[in-house]
Amino acid sequence: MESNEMDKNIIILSYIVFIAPLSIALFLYGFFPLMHCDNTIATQDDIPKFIENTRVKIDTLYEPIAKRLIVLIIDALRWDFIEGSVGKIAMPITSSLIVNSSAYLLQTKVQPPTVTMPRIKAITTGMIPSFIDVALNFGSKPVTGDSLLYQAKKAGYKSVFYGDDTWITLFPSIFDRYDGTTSFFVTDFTEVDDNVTRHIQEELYNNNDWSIMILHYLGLDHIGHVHGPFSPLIKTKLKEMDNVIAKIQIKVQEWNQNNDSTVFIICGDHGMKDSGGHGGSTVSETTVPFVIIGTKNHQNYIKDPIEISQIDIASTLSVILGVPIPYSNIGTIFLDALYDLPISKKLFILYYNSKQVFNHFQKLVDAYHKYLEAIKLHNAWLNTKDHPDDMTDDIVLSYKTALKGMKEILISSIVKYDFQIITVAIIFLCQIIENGIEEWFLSFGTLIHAISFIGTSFVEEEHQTWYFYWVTVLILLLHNFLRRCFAREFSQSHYQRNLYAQISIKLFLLLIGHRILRKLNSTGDKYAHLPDIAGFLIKQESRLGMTIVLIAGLALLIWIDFIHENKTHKKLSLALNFIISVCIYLRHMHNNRVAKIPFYPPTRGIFEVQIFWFLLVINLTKYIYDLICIRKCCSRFFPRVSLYFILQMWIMVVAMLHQPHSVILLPFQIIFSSVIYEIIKNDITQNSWVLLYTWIGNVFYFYQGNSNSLATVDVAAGYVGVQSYMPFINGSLLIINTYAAPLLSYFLLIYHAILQHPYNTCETIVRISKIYTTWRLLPVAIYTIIISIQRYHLFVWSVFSPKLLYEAVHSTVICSAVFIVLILATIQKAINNCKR
Amino acid sequence: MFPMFHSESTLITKTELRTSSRYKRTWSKYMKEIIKFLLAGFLLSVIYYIVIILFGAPVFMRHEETTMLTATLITLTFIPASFHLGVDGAIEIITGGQLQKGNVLIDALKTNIQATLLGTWLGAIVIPLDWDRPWQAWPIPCVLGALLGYTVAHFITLVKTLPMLRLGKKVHR
Repeated sequence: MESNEMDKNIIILSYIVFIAPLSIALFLYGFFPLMHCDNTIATQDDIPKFIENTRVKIDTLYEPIAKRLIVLIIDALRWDFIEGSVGKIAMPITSSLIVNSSAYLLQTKVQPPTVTMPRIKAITTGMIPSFIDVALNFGSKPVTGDSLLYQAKKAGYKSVFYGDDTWITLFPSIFDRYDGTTSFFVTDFTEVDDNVTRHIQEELYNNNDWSIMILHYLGLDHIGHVHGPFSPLIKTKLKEMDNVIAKIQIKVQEWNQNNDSTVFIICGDHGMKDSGGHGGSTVSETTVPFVIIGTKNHQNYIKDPIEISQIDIASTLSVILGVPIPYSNIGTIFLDALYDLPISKKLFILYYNSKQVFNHFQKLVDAYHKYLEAIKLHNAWLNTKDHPDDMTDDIVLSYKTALKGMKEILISSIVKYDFQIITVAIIFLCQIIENGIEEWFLSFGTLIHAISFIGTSFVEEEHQTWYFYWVTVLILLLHNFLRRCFAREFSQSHYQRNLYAQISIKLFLLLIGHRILRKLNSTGDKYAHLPDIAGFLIKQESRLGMTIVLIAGLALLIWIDFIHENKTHKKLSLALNFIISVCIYLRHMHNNRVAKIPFYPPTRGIFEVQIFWFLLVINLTKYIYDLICIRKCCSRFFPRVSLYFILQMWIMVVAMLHQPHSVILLPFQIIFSSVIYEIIKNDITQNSWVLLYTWIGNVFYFYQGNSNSLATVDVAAGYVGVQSYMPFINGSLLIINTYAAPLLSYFLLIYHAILQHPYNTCETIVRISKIYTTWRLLPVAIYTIIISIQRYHLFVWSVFSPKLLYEAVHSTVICSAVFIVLILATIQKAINNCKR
Repeated sequence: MFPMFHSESTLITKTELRTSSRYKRTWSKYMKEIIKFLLAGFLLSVIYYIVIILFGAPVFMRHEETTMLTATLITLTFIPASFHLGVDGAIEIITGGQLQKGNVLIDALKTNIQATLLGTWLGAIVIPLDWDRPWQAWPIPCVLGALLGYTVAHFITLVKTLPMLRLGKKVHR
């Protein structure tokens, strides 16, 4: 009878584990439809020859303004790096150029997600890439549609490119000469940029047959990822960039004087958060400078800079080069801010731009009266003899309002939700969840947390919810035990009172520990700028502190393993752990994060990681040997040994991937869980047990510095010990590092459950896994409903969608872990059956 | 605060009985009680302060604001309770000890304290919202929550005691 019950449970659980990721994927597919790329290419014929029915001379109206174009993209160049106090000190030459008006500074607004690949697409095609491109950021595919570069090539311009090799994967056959640098070693600050700079001299003076040169510097972004925007390294890097700009600017000036008109553009692809990453939608990430050199002299702004959108760049550059505007473009040309154009030309360009945007617009709405009105006026103006000046302002204004209106509607309607798919996915998700609710605060709290996602602030500040809950649980427990400790009941024995006092002290220590750890990495949005312990440790001056924290973390891990390891191979595992810790230390030493060991040869940090993987294999063989030993005597220890092995491996890998200051979180999570386990193991329901562990996992997830913005994903972890770019491995490492805490809490939960119920392990594992998965999927189900309701919310792309991606990956990862545990349970059951 | 229930409180009747004894002994007893009150009040504020910090209040800054919240909480929880029941009784209530059940005054004070603390807890919810309103500044939401909780508690007590009052009238007749 019991066996039947269990079979049923196993089947239900495997059903959940398979269906949940599928329905989440289905939901994502409905919510982020891959855009149907219109691969139409604009041709010369697209440049209009008539305005209504008046013929215009496009040879004179649409001739190239410049013969050469240099685009210098500095990755993660945020607004204040040029215009703020940092920029004025670190980039003196550029600043002086702006002050004496030989360079012109505009402010660019970037659409989220602020990640390089979609940004390059926006700059070159003039359209907004779909949100899901951020997930494909790593495995980029060539652009098949129209782009500025393609148009330039068709017009016979020669292009060269040096810098981030994303460009080369996006545009594989465009460039005549190129040299790509990989952005995959985030810790490399100099070589990526030297590889670009060394080509400049050659291209400027000896080999200048090209018309378009694109340079993409990555070093600044790398420094930002590792050290943040306030590091002194940033200033050095900006100075280096300033010198590059100066070098090019001198040549540009010379060319312009020799009537070889050249335009030189310096811009960032996206900004940088105060905490160092990017990907989200805060002001510092979405505002970047756009400096243009070589246009006619203009007075720079005095109070507010002119604001343009990043998608406007493609069309403007097309006009400067005199090539057709890319077909996909929905940006508006801001040329009149750069040049004093003759009025007929200005109007023609506006007309062309409007017509081209209107083509896209027509697919949505039939006609746009402002646009038609503008054309009518334009036509009337062309047909008057003296071309009166008083009309032109009106026409320009009508064109601009028409363009602006169309652009806004186009941007907002770029996504079409597939609502049928969304509904089916939600129904599937909701159907999976059916469970009894027991302990009120824990269950209620989890529910409230899920519902709180209606508000964007609660998504951005999710860690606050968990921290608050966690303190509340601890304080309630503490109050409870203190009361028991001081109760005036004489029935209590001395021993019991002592026990309560001990537990109270432990709980108080946990509270203090929590207060310190939550300051380790400040996260979220509203308070992310506050100074935190990690920020202090990362500074070069406090390298000793970082060393101590890392060594303390590793030592604690070794100690914990030493206590729990089987008696027979304590020594072996101690030795193994020690070597692994040394490997981890050496890996961080190569990055200059921790104190150097004297006489150790300089390394690239690859070799150490390879040794680490080799040691893991040794650990695996040890485990297999254990299994063989167990098989003979007592097979009921099989799940326990296996789970211990999984825990061990997981902790080792995560310790390797984590930032040096975050390693200490691992032993603390184990200690926290063990203390909680000791306190609650006897007098609490399984449901509450699962919830408490989930909460611990969540709390530690945020201690690590994660948040619901894509900017906080620690990209560096994806490239630990990896020599080349392998999307699968990089992705897995990233996921392991990000979801380290929730998975560790799940494994600990199962491990403690096995310790608690040594005789009916299988049933316990399966039941607990089921509760765990249900509680994981409940917020997902509620969240999918919330996001479907809020899909027209202003922040749907900046706040809700990243959270959806996080939830989706989180659930999938948990489902795979549950699947592994399920396999263990099934094997154990099979062994039991054999015995019978 | 609840004059009509004072007769019910055994603790207070006890103290009243003792006031009839000699003047000098009472005076020293009062002094003792006052010192005890101050000491307990101070210790409890320290505990409140620590708990508030553990909940996430800034440690190195804004001491004044956190102190204000602590003062509010002490005023709403400890002080009324110790006026009604004496310092020992107040501590007993706050630690959740087993004072006699069914005593209306003690129940009312207990509700007050619980609702005040719950109100403070709930008040913290609005702090992380991105509305950027002046009243979201620390510790205004928590103070407001405490005051609201305190008020609500009085209403609860009122509703609870209404039937009892009517019963009392009947008995008097």
